Amino acid sequence: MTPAEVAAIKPIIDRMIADTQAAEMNWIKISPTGFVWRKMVDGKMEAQLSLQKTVVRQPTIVPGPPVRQVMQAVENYIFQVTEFPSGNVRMIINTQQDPEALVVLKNLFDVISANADKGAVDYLKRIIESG
Amino acid sequence: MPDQFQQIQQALQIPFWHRPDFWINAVLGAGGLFFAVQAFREAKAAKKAAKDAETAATEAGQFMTMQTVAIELMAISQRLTNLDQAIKFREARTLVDEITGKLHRLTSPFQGKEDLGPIITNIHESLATVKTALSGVRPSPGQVEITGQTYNAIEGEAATLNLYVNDLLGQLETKSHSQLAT
Repeated sequence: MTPAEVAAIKPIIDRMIADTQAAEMNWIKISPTGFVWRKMVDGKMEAQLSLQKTVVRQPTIVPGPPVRQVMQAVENYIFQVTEFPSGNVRMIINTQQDPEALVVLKNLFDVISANADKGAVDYLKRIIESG
Repeated sequence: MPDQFQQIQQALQIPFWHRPDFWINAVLGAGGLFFAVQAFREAKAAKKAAKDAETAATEAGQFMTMQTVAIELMAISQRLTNLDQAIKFREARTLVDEITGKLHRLTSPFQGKEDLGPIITNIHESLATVKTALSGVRPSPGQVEITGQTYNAIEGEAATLNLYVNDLLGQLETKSHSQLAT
């Protein structure tokens, strides 16, 4: 992904961040490191967005003396847009290959994650208070 | 009585090496010593031969173990190389459990070896990291997995693990070749 493509996609992701914060986009936690949002039209799924965080250990040179190599954990994000009902993947951004998108996808993931946690806490509070 | 005393005195005055019984005893003693030394040498040679045979048997055993381990490591490496992009969580968990068990079994005999120990530690650390990465994509109850999610989570560390497995493979092959040469 070129810097121009990242620049083009950034406003869209910023809007997704705003919509998530405003609870207009409700993401579903499908695993401890993954979320999906499904666009439903007339009860049918039209598209699915997914965002996954991965951690990869990469060899890093530590300046010496003595110079040595250590494994350092690096966070990556994978954003995927899937069209339904065909199931065709229309877009994949993997920050391992597209490091320019790292900051923007990390922001999105953090907002989704915080909102999911807040949603869970609100739900727990609601059921306790109603009981 | 004085005669007897004189006889004893005469007998004592003759040097002992003039007496034939001294030479008979000396020859028998020397013969005994010679055979004792010979017996000691033979026993020493037999002990060395037994020790050499034991070392050869141990080395042959180690050589066979290294060959067997190398073959199994190659199979593991191929499985890691051919990790399916569409792998599901359950399949990945089975694969990781299987590989973890095998690698621990295969590497445990060599863990004490100074040259192989660090590589084996790397393998064990990498296995732990793969497991942690895999637990990060355990599907939440009632949720459907996204295709590629499990692959994305583990492929990086699986590649690192594969490198370490190949490091160990290389070391074992080198050791096997040097043993064959000797």
